[in-house]
Amino acid sequence: MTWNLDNNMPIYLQLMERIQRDIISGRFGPGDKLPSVRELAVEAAVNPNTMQKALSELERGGLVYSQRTSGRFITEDEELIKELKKEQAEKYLVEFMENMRSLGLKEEEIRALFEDAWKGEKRA
Amino acid sequence: MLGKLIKYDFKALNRYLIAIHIMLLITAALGRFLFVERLIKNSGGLSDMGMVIMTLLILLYVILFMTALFGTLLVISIHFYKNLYSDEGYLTHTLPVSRGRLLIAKTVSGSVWMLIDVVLVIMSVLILVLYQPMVREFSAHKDEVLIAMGFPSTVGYGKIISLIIVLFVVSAVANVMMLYVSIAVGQLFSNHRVMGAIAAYFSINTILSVVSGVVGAAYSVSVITNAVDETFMYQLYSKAYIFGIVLELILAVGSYLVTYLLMQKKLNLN
Amino acid sequence: MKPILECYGLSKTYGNGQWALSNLNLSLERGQIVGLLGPNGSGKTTLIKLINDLLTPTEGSIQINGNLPGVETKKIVSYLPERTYLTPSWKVRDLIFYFEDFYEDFRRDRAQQMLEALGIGLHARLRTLSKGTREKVQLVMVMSRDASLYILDEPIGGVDPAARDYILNTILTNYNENATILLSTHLISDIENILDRVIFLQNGQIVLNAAVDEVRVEQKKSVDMLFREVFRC
Repeated sequence: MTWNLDNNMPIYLQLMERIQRDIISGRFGPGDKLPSVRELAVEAAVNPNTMQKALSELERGGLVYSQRTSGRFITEDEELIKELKKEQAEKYLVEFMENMRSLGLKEEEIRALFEDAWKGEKRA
Repeated sequence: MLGKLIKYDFKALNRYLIAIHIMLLITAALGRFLFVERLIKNSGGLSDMGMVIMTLLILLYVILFMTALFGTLLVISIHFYKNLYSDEGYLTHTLPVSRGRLLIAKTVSGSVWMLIDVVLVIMSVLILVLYQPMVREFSAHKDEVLIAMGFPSTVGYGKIISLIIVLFVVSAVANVMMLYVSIAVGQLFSNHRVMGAIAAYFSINTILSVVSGVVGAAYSVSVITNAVDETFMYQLYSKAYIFGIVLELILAVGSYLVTYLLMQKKLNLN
Repeated sequence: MKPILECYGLSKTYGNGQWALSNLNLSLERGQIVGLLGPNGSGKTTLIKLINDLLTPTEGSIQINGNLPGVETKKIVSYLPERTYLTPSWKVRDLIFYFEDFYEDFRRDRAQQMLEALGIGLHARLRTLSKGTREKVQLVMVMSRDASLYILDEPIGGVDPAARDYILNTILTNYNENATILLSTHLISDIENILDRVIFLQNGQIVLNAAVDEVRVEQKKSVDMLFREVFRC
């Protein structure tokens, strides 16, 4: 059950992204307690120090906060999470559009394809 | 820690040696009660079948006798080699104990078994053949026998017995140390380390017999040319005992030091 | 606190005119997992044997927690050699008693728990176990100590992927935060993610000593890729 990690990017960045995604997707809810560094490290099969670094970075961004004795928690600031979700969605959208344009598709064509796909998914 | 090391060394040696010696004593006892007793009481009372069984039993005894004598040396050597210089050595040498302690533990366990071996082998011979007339014979000619062995009647029994004990103990330790130093020297070779050990063992033995031969001959000559009287045998033997003890002591201490230094400075596990 | 391991000008020759290690300087901090990487004959095993007092340096010295290799350092170093050092006639529990007798930092409950998880009975004779199982028993013993420095020589060489995951898991769960693990291997891609640092050895010298993420940031590639480049045949 190790996490899928890419070999060429710094590990801690990938861990940050992964945890961030878990928070956005709701696997960890606002105010939830995070598993310990050791537990997370074992789950991801990574070095505990690297996990520690990823969590510290997340802490700096305010997404996670630590209480001296009881461990680390997800922020209760739902606005922040929402904003992050939006940010991430926008990032995916930009990527999506870039990919479509690289296929030589015009905006109208993209919209048509998108709507078809949308309907298809709804029906299924 | 030393106690624990000795405990585990004994555990390894006991595995084989107890069995060998129990078998030796049982065979001796069987031979005694099945045949020797009968021979003593009425000679020629054995059937053909009995002769065959007796021959086989005597043969078994001789084999066990040799196994006890040489097998003990072999078991002690193999344990030393395996525990310190084979793959097991990776654990033994990384225990939090000094090399000196490892060697002391092996010296104690090996020497104690050498002594037990000598005592039990002698005991097996006595079990097999010692009988009343022989004891009476010895008591009657005690003084002559003792003088022939180099002990005039002026020497007390206490002294004789302690000398023999010292001789046994020292030679047991020296024998064991000679095995150990040979194995340690064998480790200096990059290949064929067991062959190296065997070569070292026979070289040391050769040097030793040359030294004791030369010294013994020189001394006998000097005694003979000086004066031959009734104290001659005694003088020769008493000097020989002392010389033997001193030589074995030197051998034991020298071997110990060389083994220790080789373990400390030249260890190189394969 | 002093570094857990320091090597100064460490050199070793076996008297054949070749240097297995030459003038190696190294300092390892506490609380890290360090990969010792290098092709065969690069000096990995020599370095590991020197740290464990199984060889004496020709020149230079080693300090572990400020002490030269010896009784004091063996109390705090837990070593997994590449060889199987188990006495075949022993049972698994004899080995537990042995470790308990000699290592004050041995945790019997931890060992028993791990053996149970692996389905290895305490009354099994070591002779009857498969080679892979014996290797696992040995790793369990080594990781059941509360050591300050663990030295694992090729702990994942020649085991199946499931066993490898178990071994890595064992390492990650059992070492304490102030302990350092020095782990030699040639299968880098398998363990790259659990390492803090990597040390590349070549011809008895250190050619790289860097944090894994540093390598990835600076070189834009994994340590595995870098290793393949540095040691290309």
